[in-house]
Amino acid sequence: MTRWPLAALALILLAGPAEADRAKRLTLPNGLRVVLKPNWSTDVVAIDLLLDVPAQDEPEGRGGIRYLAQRLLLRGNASESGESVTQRLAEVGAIADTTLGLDYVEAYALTPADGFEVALRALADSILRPAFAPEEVEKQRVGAQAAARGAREEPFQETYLAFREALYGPHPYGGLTLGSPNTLASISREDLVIFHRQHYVASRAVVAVCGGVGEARALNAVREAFGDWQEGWPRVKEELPPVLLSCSEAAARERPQRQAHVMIGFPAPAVGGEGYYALQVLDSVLGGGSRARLPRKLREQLGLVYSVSSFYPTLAEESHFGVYAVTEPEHLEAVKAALLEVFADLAERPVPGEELARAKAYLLGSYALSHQRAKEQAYALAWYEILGLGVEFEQQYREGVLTVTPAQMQETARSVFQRFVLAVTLPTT
Amino acid sequence: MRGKAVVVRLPKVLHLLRLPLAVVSLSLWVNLVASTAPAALLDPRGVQSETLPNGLRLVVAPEPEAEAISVQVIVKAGSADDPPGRTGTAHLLEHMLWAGKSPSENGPRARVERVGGMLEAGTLRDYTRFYATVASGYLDLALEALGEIVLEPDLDEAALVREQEVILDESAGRSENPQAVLNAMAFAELYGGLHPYANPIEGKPDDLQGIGLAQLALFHRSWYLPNNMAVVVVGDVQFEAARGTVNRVFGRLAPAPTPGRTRPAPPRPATGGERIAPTAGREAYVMAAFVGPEVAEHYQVCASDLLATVLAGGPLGRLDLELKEKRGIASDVGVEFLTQRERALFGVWAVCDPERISEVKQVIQAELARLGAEPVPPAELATARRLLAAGYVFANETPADRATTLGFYEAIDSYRTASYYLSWVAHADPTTLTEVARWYAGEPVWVILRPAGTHRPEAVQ
Repeated sequence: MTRWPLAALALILLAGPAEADRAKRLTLPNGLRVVLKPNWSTDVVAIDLLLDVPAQDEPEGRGGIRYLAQRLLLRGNASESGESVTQRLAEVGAIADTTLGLDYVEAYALTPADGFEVALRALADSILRPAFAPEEVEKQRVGAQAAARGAREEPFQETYLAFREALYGPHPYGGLTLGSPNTLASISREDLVIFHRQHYVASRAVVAVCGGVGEARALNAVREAFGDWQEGWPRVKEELPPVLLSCSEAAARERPQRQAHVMIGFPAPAVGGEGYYALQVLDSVLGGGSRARLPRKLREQLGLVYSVSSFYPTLAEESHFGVYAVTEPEHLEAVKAALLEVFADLAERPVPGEELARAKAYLLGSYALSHQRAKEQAYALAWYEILGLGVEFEQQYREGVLTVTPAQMQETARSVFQRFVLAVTLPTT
Repeated sequence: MRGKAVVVRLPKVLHLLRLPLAVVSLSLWVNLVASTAPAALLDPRGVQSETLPNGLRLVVAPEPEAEAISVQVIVKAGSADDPPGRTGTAHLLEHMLWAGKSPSENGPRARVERVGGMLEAGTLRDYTRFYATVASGYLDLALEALGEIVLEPDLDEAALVREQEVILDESAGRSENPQAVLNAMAFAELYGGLHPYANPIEGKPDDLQGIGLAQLALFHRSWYLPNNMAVVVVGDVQFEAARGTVNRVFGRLAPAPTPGRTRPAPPRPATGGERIAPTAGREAYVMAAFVGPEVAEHYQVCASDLLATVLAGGPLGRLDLELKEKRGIASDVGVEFLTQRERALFGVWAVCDPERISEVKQVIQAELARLGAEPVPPAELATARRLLAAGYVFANETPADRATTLGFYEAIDSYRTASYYLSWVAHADPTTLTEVARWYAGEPVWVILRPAGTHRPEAVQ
């Protein structure tokens, strides 16, 4: 029996970044929040702009308006064409793109340090003053509709959608992130202009700059590029009804595929909520690494699944904890029974010390490894700011994970692993 | 480069709910960056190397400011070294070594995970790699775990059957991905009957199922030799410390001659041809495949990377502009080109409406002919150089990235290529560019995936 060297790792991770390396946060007069984290060991600079524009902000019947607007941002603005924006970025070797999640919309650029000002300016022009040129709107609408259809051809996405629909019902997390071909068809240019004017405002935005550029230079450039951004109104957070399941629910769909895709899960605390850290560690006990419970039990011992993993997304509102497995259709019942047994065990028995140590080390190690790049850091820092957690959250997260006790985990397992939603997509019969 | 595809955890939090809008052709980007590395980051003065008495190559890039250490153990044999009729041997062996006979709490992967690190493996056509990233201070633990995996094969029949099944399932999954099917077809058509690059890395299903423990042991004895291996270490480590541990773990291995490789290079240019296969999706996949340079042709490799960038290195690529922007007949375009030890595939592809296949083929050929006939204008070339250079920097941001790049070149050439590459790109002259472009201006081998039931006689199109 070897002793695990967690104590040493815990010290390293608990210590966190030195004072000089910590991120700085400030707010411009127009309400724009700016987060800066220089890193002199790299020439890469990531600029990440997140806007607090969640799915529930989409007007009734206009599902996908955020997605269409995002697709159009880099396709031309008040002062130049989309091609000219791309040319400007390419000349300094920068790339830029836009994305969105359930809780936010995002635009980012990755640039060599000497192209930083150019990339930042191109991004600002695109976000503040998009042209929404009619022919470009039509072109991007067609692309958006194809992507919306394509998203549903992928078994994981389709299963996850069925899962969220069953779990959240009319709650915004239960819908399509990209909209549907029909709702996308109903969005006019005027809808886009109004939506942009109301939602793409400084008071809802965070700009994070990480990597090979100093604080003074970065701040100067951000002030210059974004200083004249209209402040607008911060988002009024509406109270969403709690996600309650009156009984366990199941949803099944069919699509042309070879295997059965299963998702089983529960409503789970929002980030920072009661039981959040305990559930993070439970997630790692179940799905973190080769010795985690799910691959050990379902693959090695029972040979029931091709793959199995757990997930607990960080969301602004009530989140969900789930397990995703790919199996043969005839094994569905056995997989479900085995999973429920694994959940029940966590509610009944405390996780042994060595397993707990391994799960924590794995969780914090994965966190560190997936936050090494400037882009990953910029995204995380901007996201924590949107969530209201602040740049201190990185440090709090480490401490929160390390101080979780077996008793807290057992209590959390009891309260979370109750009524469940089961979503399945099966091969077409 | 391909990664490990066994029991991978779902992409967590960020990835799960974020949907990229795919403005840049990512597959091209990955290929470009995989074949190159930043000179500034991989400054030869910062990289130390040595050949141990038993022939093992050691390459160390000490980075005292890093908080992690990344280690790559390279075996310079990949799927191109599979014995005839036993395709998939290199990959199956890698799977079995990585997975172990029966996973245990004190197995090498578990030990690395227990200190918050990761241990992975992967097989390519030219080489096999086993690699780990750990926090500073755990170099010995990582090297010992990797050494145990690579040097102490503990194979049994149950693990063999299990991993064969895992691989067959991975292959079946890949057969549902049209891009992967198109690439496999291109390799098969271009190299078939001539060169082992023709074969799929994971093996043909019948071959794979015919591989026994004896063949795996033979492959291991033949190629997993210190004089055919390299260890690359990047991160918070001193050269002497790395050498000490590497010597302790790998120094006892005895060198022996490797089987060697005797095969002719595939002819360049290839002879042309066309192969069409059905696909289940709605869109058609079209690729013009050519035989490109081998890694030792450094200038031609750089030229091919620059040509790929000019053609499809982002929204301003010539094919992006012509097929996506102007004509609006393709939803995606790209160039498949990964530098190899021997002559590599250079494949120019597009995804389009099945009704537009002929037009897409014409445009691809016209753009390739133009590159062979006219020099790329200076401003366009300057932008391509800049994009390529920035791509290296982005692709080599972490110690693990840099270890991957150094290991990649050490496996097929020399780690020094990683350092010089950028200056070669900066100085690649337009004449070489045009010369190389002429390789790709002739008759391609066309490989096409067409949705079932969409065939129409050419005259009607």
